Amino acid sequence: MGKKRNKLEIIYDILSVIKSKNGKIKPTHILYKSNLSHTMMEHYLGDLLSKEMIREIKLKKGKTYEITDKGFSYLSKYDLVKGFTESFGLD
Amino acid sequence: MGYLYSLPKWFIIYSIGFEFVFAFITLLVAIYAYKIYRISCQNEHKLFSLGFFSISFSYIMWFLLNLSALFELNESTSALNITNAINYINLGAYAYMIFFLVGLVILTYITLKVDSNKTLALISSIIFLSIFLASNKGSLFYSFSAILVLFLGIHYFMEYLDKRNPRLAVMLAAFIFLFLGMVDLLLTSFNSVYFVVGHLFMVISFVLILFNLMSALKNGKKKK
Repeated sequence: MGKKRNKLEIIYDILSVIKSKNGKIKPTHILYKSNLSHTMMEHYLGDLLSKEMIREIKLKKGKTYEITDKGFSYLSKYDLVKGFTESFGLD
Repeated sequence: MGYLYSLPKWFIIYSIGFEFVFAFITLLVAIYAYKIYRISCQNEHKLFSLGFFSISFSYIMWFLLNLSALFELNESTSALNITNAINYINLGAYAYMIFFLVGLVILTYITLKVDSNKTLALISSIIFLSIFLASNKGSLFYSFSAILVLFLGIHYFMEYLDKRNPRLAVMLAAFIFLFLGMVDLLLTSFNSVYFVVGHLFMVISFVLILFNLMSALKNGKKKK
């Protein structure tokens, strides 16, 4: 069984999934690709929305999530964030 | 107020220098932690930054007021100027104690991994009220500081056992030395040489923390 992901890793995985779909994705695709339960996915999406790393775009049928500049920044600087967090035991 | 510390005269200049270094290192950690917070938006990073900012500010206060006290006491010729200098020293001592403890309380709170303002308020109230009411504030301050630093050391020990990350071992060592430093400062009322020894332990501690920070940032940039 794989190691349990921490919060930073889950956020990275979700944002990576969105980025891989040209920066826009439906919630069901996140659910399939991110390996999270529906409840956990909703929790993390809410968290990412409040932190403005993604934005919600309402469509006629359903909605999509789009990654923001802040989200891209997280992805590009993830190793730095992860390194700092692990070094100081903040995970 | 009681003793905050007793130090040998020859060490005053070195002490002021060390306090400046401690302030600088903790400020660096605080700044980088804040930069990481800006990227991650994680509360832990914000609190870590805040904790180290507070500790840095405490050392800046200690540095500035020891410097001004040294200058004032050397230059003072009247009783009024000496009284003013002593008032500054007391003010500086209180500011140092408050901000140092605030920093340690915040860092300890992070390790508890509870999202509760009540918990933070409770810990802070117990500590600050106890010191406020104590006759020997200096001893109680160092005792509480030592307890909190020891708690942080134990946290890093447990984290190291769990994750086996060598950088966590560095932080463990840093907090062990900081604990020894606090204990030595507590003992300065018996012999002022403990002030020197305490500072040497603290130098080792903060150099280890600085090393950890540089190492984390270097590795973070390299992986790109």
